[in-house]
Amino acid sequence: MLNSRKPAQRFVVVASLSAGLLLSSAVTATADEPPGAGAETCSPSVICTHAGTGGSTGSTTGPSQGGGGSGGDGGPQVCSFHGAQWACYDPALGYFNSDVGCYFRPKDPQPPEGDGAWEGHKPSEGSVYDKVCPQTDGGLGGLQTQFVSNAAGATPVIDLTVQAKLLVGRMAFPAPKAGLAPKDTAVVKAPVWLWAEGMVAPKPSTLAVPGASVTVTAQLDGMTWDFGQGMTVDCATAGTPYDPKYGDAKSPDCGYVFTTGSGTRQGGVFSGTVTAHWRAHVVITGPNAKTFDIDMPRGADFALKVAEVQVLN
Amino acid sequence: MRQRGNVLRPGAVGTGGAVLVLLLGACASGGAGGSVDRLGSPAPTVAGVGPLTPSGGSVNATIAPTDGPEGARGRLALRTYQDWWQAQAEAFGRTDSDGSALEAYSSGRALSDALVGLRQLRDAKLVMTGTPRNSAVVKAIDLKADPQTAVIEDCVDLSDWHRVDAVTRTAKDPADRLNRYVATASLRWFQEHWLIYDFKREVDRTC
Repeated sequence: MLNSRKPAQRFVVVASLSAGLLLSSAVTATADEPPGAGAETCSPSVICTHAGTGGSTGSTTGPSQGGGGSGGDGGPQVCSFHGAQWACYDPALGYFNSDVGCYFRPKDPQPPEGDGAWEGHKPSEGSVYDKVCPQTDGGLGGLQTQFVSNAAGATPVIDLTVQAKLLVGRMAFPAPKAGLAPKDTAVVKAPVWLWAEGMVAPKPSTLAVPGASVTVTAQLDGMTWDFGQGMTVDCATAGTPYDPKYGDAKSPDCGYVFTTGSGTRQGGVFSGTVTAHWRAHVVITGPNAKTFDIDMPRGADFALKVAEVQVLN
Repeated sequence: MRQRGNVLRPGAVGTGGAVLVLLLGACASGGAGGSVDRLGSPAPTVAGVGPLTPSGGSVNATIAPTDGPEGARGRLALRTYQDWWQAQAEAFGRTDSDGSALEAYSSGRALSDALVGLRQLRDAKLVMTGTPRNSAVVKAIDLKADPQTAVIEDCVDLSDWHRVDAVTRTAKDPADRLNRYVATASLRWFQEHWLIYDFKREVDRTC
């Protein structure tokens, strides 16, 4: 079901990533118009009685180069294997290799040299991947580990958009560590300062190949604090750490004033969560230049006791 | 104040922007305890996905703890689930979406099903219009599992969400489409956030 409409633009080089993947800056394949993909095809699956995505368009083979798939027209990137269709990139599983019908995701960190996962190879010769092979019934197989050589022809061609997402997936977006003041017991109607520690954006990551490049920059697009009971607050920043010099002032950028205490809650505390809304901005240059953003949320828990009445001395 | 619905990209406001209905303010109460309807005030609960009150007692009979650490993580799971529906409504409402926004919320079969559906709509030059509605609760949550897991049960009402021709906007709903059903979503905690990896429609159950 796949053909190559733009084969002339494909080129393959050895990646500079430690993952050692091969790259293609160009689209490897685009989908044929699926016959009968009109009103008689029930999609999207959430409105359909039957899921029907496993080979629903009659695809029988994947592209000749793994990792490629429909989506060269800017639409969703879908890969095929034995009639079943899978996302060409999965945030938890990695990229889909249509030659073998499995997802591959470079282990991060890579195992130490000499580890059995290297299968006797040196780290300079390739990389160790987590491998998951979806089953025809739609389930996912067990996690395996596999060494993949850097040698030309041993690794699949990866669409540059998928490669960019893999690059984003390897960047360390920090989870927030909740900072609260007062730290131990807050009081209703008194300002509480909220801030998240460790909110240092990962450094920009780049990947250069002849005639094309990927650049990823990270930025924090705000925080969401959730105390339960419908009490949430969104902040544009990570917040300002409280210092005694501020006295009883309100936080300049991220705070909350409770109107009810936590005495009736489990453990006498509000069990809350804080989510950092990280965003990766991807710029791809070359024959298929484009830019897009990827949300990379990171959450953490905290507990805060809030007293109804402040005890006066 | 940060705007919810961060899947809306710069430049993404186009024809599909019409379906991104921001339901500001607290949503109507309803559903069992722990329902997403109780979340999000004063911030909007969900953008693009409306609340729904189940008509019967066939769903949401038992729910996971709504308090303590399980309750806190459960609220995050609900938020992810609602954001996922919002991202679907937005992606399926556009002719130029690549579905990448769904990768922030879903994985495995749930992601692949959505992308395949998006591909089929795109190839057939169809879009979804209107607003999907639901009433989701956390049915179970296991913070001791590795990875941690959560199960969300939902009453999905898609009777106001229709498939139309992307250009003429004429109705193109499939003959065997579903309007309202019980759904079960399975989530895993991955890299400090929830990911939906499975979404099952229990079409033989009513709600």
